[in-house]
Amino acid sequence: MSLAEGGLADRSAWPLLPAERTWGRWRLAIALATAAAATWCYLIGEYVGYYLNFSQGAAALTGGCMIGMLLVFLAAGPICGRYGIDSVASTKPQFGSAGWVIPSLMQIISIIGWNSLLLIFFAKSATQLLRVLGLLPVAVSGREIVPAATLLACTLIYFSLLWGAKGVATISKILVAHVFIGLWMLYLLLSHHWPELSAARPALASPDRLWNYTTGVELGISSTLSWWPYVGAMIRMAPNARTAVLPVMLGMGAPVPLLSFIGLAGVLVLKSSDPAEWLRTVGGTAYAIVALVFVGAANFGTAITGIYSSAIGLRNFAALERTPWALLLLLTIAPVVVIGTLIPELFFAKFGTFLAFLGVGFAPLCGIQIADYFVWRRRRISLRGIYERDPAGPYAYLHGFNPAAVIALALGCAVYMALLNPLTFASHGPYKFLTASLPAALSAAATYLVASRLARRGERVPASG
Amino acid sequence: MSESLPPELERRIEWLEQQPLGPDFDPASWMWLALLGLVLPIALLVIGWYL
Repeated sequence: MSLAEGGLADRSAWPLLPAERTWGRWRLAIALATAAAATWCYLIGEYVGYYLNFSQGAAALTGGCMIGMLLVFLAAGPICGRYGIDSVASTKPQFGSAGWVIPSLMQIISIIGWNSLLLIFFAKSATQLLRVLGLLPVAVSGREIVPAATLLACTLIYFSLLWGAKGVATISKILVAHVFIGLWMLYLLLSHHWPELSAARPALASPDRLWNYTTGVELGISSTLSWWPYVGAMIRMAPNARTAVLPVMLGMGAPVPLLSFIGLAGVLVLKSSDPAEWLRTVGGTAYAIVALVFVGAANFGTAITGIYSSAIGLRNFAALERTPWALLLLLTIAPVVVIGTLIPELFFAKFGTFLAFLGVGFAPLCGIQIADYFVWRRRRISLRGIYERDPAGPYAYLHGFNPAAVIALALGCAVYMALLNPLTFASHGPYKFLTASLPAALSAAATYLVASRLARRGERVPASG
Repeated sequence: MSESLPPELERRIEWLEQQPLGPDFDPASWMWLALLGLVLPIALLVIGWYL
């Protein structure tokens, strides 16, 4: 039975046919909004709230997120939308028929890392909810419940995703309600605490006003850049790239800053970005329950999209091309289960560091993809070349690796790190005028174009002697 | 050594190669991208600076 006959194409990394790309604007927007809205929104808002007041923080976050979303969409959107392929497959023209494993590893580690964090968050919220509802005996600690709740969440995600993209769409339709609950929570916070909010001053603001503002913008840009691993698997379900423009820019780009305002407002007024904590102060236990349900639903929705995108990305490995979907899902979700059940607290404490550095790579990756598609190839990609493993194929390069892309990625990461340490936020040089993500993307794009041109010139010049 | 593609993948690629590929973005798409990804954020950032 072929994939097409079995209706299983959405569970492969192969290009989708037009008949299989059935997600319209609304369905795509709902899936993207559900994926975008998660606990990280509060964390993003919280970090911005350390440096900026509410009005400036809201403007910087929104502006930064929209710019970041544009970069992500221009990088992966045209190729994924045009050919019905995922984010990882879209990197083969730039990185090569073997070099694509570099962005693939970035995707796998990033998604597994984020999903582990989100599902541990989910488990912690579920534990808090049980405690608030009086269903958890006082003698039972959160340390005992969190691993079990994580395992339960992973099991639910596994069974939901057995339906492939249909599972993502169905769960999204239900869970998208949490975005509106989030907006209601924001309304509550603004309406109850506006005088304090407008007067609140950020706790860690630098004396340099421009540095604070740029850091708010940078946080918005870098947060949305980490959506690169997710977008391709969603966009390819829409009929074309044009259909995906508004769903991506509004469905994914808008909920992140809007829900981040919750964390921003929370940390400024109540010194806590956790909505469950401050909603209790606003509306008592009933509101806290709503907040906990919201957090649980938000993280569950994002994790579903993440696991799905990661599984599709893994399909690009030849060894996993024909692995049964149920087994592939199991392989994708297993690391999350192991982390969430065995080392949740250790992971919580340490893995954020690694993710901060990993996020640095997505800005140059986007720069390389944009330069390659729009400038170097002038929007012409060989679909066959993406899947061929022929040493003479168009994306074979040097043993399957394109040195231009590898050098550009390394240089872009170096530029980012030279401008801003993502952990300490220690900045150097012209960071406060430029941000770190934009120069990283631009330098990677320029390096890629120059190196590609030099490589082409080298091929034309016959070897002397 | 080159490997042949799986028959289903081969069929898909052949089918897609035979279809005329439309443009990635039309003028309306570019307009929305410029508006939502550049004009609006830049305007917001300028306004935000003075708040």
